[in-house]
Amino acid sequence: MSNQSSDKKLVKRVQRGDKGAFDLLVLKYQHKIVNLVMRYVRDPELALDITQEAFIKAYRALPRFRGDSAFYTWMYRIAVNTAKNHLAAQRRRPMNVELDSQDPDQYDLHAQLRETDTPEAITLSNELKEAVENAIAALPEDLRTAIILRELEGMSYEEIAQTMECPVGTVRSRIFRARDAINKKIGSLTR
Amino acid sequence: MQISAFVDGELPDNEADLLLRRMGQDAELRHRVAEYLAIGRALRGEISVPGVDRIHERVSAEIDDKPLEDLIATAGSPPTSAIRPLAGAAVAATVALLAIFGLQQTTSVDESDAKTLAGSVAATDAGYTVPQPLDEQLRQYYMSHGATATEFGANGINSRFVSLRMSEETLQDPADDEETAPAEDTEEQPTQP
Repeated sequence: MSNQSSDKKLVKRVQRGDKGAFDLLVLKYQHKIVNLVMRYVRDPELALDITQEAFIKAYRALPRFRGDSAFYTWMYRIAVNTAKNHLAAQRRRPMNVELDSQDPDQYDLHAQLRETDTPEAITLSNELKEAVENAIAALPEDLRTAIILRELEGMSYEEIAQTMECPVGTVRSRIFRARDAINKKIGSLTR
Repeated sequence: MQISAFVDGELPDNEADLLLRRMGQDAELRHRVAEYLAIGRALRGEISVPGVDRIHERVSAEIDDKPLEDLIATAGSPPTSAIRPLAGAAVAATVALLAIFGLQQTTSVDESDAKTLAGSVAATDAGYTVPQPLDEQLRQYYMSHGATATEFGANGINSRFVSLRMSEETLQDPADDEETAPAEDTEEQPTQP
């Protein structure tokens, strides 16, 4: 099941009354949406508030969401509009160039985010990154290769299976075991 | 292992359906998703705003206050302000329809009742026997009783009327009555029961 397909299923579950499914959608996209909102407001606390508001708006509008576009594209527009409305209310101009509110893939979010990172965020992220790298270094070779090909190279399970010359089921198992091992070592940092 | 594959979008549909159902009810499973996503971001060196991981909790707390059934019930509906005038018209139309159907039902009931009544009357008429002339003693009894009843006012007007008529006239055979009664007196004659 692709990410978009799983999003569609999650949306349908929310529309049938499953709040846990919406929680999953929030978990999946909260970082992307906060990073997006940070393009409009410099204050991280305010960005969190706007992101929260955007998700609540989306939840309330979700019963009318027909699925013509991907959930994230729809969510992206809601977040941009919420941020713009906030700025309009505060009579302030956006701090950066206008983003295309129709296309979430038109800009390099990660690269732009670096400009507005706070020292606190950088410290925390560096700490987490170092912990994860240490955990990966301690993994057996097959697990380490599998998780790196997946997370850093963005390969599909099928592609990893071909690269590592093993069945897809083995790839699935190796990636899970890698994550589980890493999670046990860095658990306190991700909670 | 399923959650890991789900995070990567690699879980087969049949397994994903079941997992989504479980995750919808199990916050711990959802937390595991969050952890796996965090590992990926950390590996890629993505920097997050502090507190972003709490957004889903804040959103959950907000939407928990509002029953989702309410939101679903309003799905696809126009805003409340737009509904109000329509709601008034709908109520008026409903009342009008109820009145029409109610009237039709009453009419049909009346008609059927009338038919039933007519049938029963006809049946009664068919079985009706023309009373024979009372003998003098019995007639006197009725006259006395009618006068007493009138005096005590049991059935006021009716009693008076019957008493008056019986005291003024002698009961006649209906056949004779039809033949002898003058046309102008017809209205004043008591009707047969």
